[in-house]
Amino acid sequence: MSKDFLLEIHCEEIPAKFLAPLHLELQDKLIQLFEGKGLVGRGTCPRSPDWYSPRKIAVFLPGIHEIQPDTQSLEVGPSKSICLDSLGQPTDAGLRFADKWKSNFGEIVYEEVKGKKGDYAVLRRAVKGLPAVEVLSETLPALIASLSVPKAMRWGHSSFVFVRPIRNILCLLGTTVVPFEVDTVKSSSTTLGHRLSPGPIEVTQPSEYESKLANHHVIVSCIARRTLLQKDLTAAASSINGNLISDESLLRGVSEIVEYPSVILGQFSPEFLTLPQSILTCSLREHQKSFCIQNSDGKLLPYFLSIANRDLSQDHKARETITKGNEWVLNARLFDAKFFYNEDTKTSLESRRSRLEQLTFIRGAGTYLQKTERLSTLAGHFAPLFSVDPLEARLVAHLSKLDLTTQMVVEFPELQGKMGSDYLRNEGLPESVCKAIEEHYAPVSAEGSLPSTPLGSLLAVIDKLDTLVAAFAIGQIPTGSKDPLGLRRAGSGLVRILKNQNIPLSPVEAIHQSLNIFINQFTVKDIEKVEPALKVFWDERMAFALSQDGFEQQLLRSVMAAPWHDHLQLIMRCQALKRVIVRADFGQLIENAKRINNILVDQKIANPLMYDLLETPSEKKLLEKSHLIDGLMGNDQLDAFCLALAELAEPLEEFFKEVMVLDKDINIRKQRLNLLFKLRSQFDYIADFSKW
Amino acid sequence: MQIQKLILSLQEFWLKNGCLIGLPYDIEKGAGTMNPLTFFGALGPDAWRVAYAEPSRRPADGRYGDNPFRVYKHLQFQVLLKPSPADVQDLYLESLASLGIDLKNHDLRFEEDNWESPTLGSWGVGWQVVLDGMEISQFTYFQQMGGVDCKPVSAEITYGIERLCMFLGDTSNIFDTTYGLIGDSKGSVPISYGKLRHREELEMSHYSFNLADIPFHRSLFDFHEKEGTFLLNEHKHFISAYEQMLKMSHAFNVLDARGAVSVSERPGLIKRVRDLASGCAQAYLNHHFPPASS
Repeated sequence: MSKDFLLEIHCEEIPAKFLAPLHLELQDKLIQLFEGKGLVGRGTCPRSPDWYSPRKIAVFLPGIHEIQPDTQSLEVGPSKSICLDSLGQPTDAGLRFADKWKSNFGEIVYEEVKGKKGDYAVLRRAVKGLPAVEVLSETLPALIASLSVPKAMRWGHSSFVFVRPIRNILCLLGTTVVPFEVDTVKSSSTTLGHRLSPGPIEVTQPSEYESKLANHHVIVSCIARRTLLQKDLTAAASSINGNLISDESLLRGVSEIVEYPSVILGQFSPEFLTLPQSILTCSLREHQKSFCIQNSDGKLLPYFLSIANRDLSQDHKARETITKGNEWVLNARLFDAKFFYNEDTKTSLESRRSRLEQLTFIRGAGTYLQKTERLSTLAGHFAPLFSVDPLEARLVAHLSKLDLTTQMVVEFPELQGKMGSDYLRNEGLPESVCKAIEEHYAPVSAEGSLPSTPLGSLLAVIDKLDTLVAAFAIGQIPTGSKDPLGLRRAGSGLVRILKNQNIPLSPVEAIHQSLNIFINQFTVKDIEKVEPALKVFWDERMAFALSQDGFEQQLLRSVMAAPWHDHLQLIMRCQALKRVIVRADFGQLIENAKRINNILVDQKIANPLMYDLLETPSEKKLLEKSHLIDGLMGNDQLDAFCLALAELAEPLEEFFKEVMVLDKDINIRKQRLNLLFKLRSQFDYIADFSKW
Repeated sequence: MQIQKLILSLQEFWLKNGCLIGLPYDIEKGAGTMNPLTFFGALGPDAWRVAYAEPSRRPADGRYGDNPFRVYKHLQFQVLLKPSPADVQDLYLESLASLGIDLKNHDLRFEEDNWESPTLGSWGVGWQVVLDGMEISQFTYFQQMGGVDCKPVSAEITYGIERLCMFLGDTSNIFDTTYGLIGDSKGSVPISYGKLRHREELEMSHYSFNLADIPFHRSLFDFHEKEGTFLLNEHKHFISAYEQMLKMSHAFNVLDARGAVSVSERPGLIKRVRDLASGCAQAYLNHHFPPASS
């Protein structure tokens, strides 16, 4: 018979971000345990519903066997000659082996055992399957203790470590309690409801768990809470003829911090609508986890939607009190925001420049004032590449970091860039400047939106470039999973912007330029290692971005190993090469290209560059084709170039069959080697095939 | 709700629940945790329960008495329960009920908020308690104090007195809350928080942001460090040394508000305070719970 299994760990409030990972891990480990113990067929166990709430992690798995299947165990003892004496009578050793497994000596059979020579004593014993409840009560405590907790804690006298104190455990197989104890908490068939309806609640079988909790105001399914929230939020917004400004990550966040979500519609004082919209939405979202409502023109309405952690459908008095409380707090928050905004706008942003000196950029790499100076120089240098006015570029760089000193950004760090652009717009700076400052931190995530203007793109690129160079110069290079400065994200962002704007920026030149500016301010240790390390890092980011475009690894690897200037060139080469590699003879060409590389390892080009002694048909044909390729070297003829390259396959094959490169005649040998050098330099024009 | 009554109610509640009722410690400090009743109380194996009100000075939070929510000095009510009891959350909820907060009419959440004090070398995990959208308490399971693992672990509950009072009294300006009443048989008059403290806020904000002498405070910081280190190293005195640490910490806070601490200098100064605090914790344990001689 198979039964439903349910395990619920009830804790004090678990931080939202740990809930889903913990639930997943518990579920995986349980399934693994059941499969390992023969309590469920491998790969047959369905996934548990997403039952977790701030105080609960619950896994429900149906179809668990009540009893383990019977199995046979195989015990190997001493060799036959040790078990039996010369007369074929049992020895002491033989008898001990039988005793050990509580068997009769006569049950021993002698046979060959894998990995050993000769016959050995073997006992086959039937092992009776144990009841699942017994197996689980022994194994579950260790399984729970093994759950990974990123920020672990202890409590009371215990040295048990978990994410938050465990206060109750429910564990059922069918209608039977699986008895065990974790840190003095004994498992049982009861659980606890919402604080307003705590129970204890008796659960007689796993299938009634969800509905029994619902009766006690806990919606244990996370997705169910989210769906309910989404519906109620939308309805509440339309009740005042507004539209909900949807915010997926906030919705996910709030559905993980409540056991039963109710939507509260509150108002704030319309005087705060004079604040920039970004401040309002940010303050509502970050401080109060509240949603905003806009009218059909996209203007914010003086309303907000907060989430309460309880059922309010029947309780109007409580709803009123809670709404009033939330309004009180929100008005206080907005008052503070307005205070900061007014303080910030009392003086011009430029007047705060000296404060940048107080603001560390990266420890060991100076202040934001120094960074701003570097950015100005970089901006002027790279402006033509982005087709923007160098003067405007320098101005934007000069102003870019000033808002980091404002109270608003200190309070809401995610408003960096945004506040700068708002304040500068008020001061009457051109829109292009404001926009560039607003968008220069983009992209903020792997799929985040990119700067939309050339000026913003320039600022975003040099900001990230300077961060990378500064970090590498002071030895802060990301390793493994350690990347505290988010350099990989910065690198990928930089590459994405260059691709998006089609900017032919050479990594070698960019790194060199930026490092030169950095060493005007700082002494750099092991400076000769910085540029190569950065180039490798940049290449990795570039390879990652291009692999996202669907280019294969070996193609990318080979193309990137040959000298290249910028990603536009790389992409064209990859595309052109991709079109010819489908040819049947291409594999042969690559093999022979590798062969050329091997031959040339210890060789040098010989002067003068003459080919007059090459007389066999294949080398003459090769030379002729190679001369043809010379005329095709230029970015606009890449396809013709690749085609011509592919046509080398046949003569090259013949060449290696027909001639001996290292001829006895030293002059012929030199010319043959020179021919191979010439061919290789032509291959190198598009890819290093030794990396294929 | 009057501020003084709120304090009295909390004292009464925690007295009933087996706490000593302590007094504020008479040296400036940034948080109630710095009172020796909590700092030393959280160390060592012995059970300990204490509750007290503590004025907390945060010079950088001064707003010249202009801001209805932020002040240079506010009141915390501090509870320490060692070891943390299994029903500590329920006890806390009962304390709210004793203030007249009936959960049936409110919305309550425990939201993750881990506490850390780099100057004390202390940290813990816990929550901020959010009532109808407002943070009213901080709830912490101390994991380390003065760089020493807490065994057993204490639970610390901190109530923000003024906030709670404004919330309960539906007042939108801290200075309009009522501190208490004075009077005689003929009647009584309310004394507002503003009447009691507004001028203090104005003067202390000016002092912290504009008037405090920077070189003087730098030398205070140095002298208190020297004095504290001397007391600790030469005499193994951890209480007098701890007082020097508190004074260092306050001098640092004044310098910080005055804008005299650069970002790069900050971690170094904090570490100097922490070193003295950790030394005090160690000396306290060595004195009361000397390691068994091997």
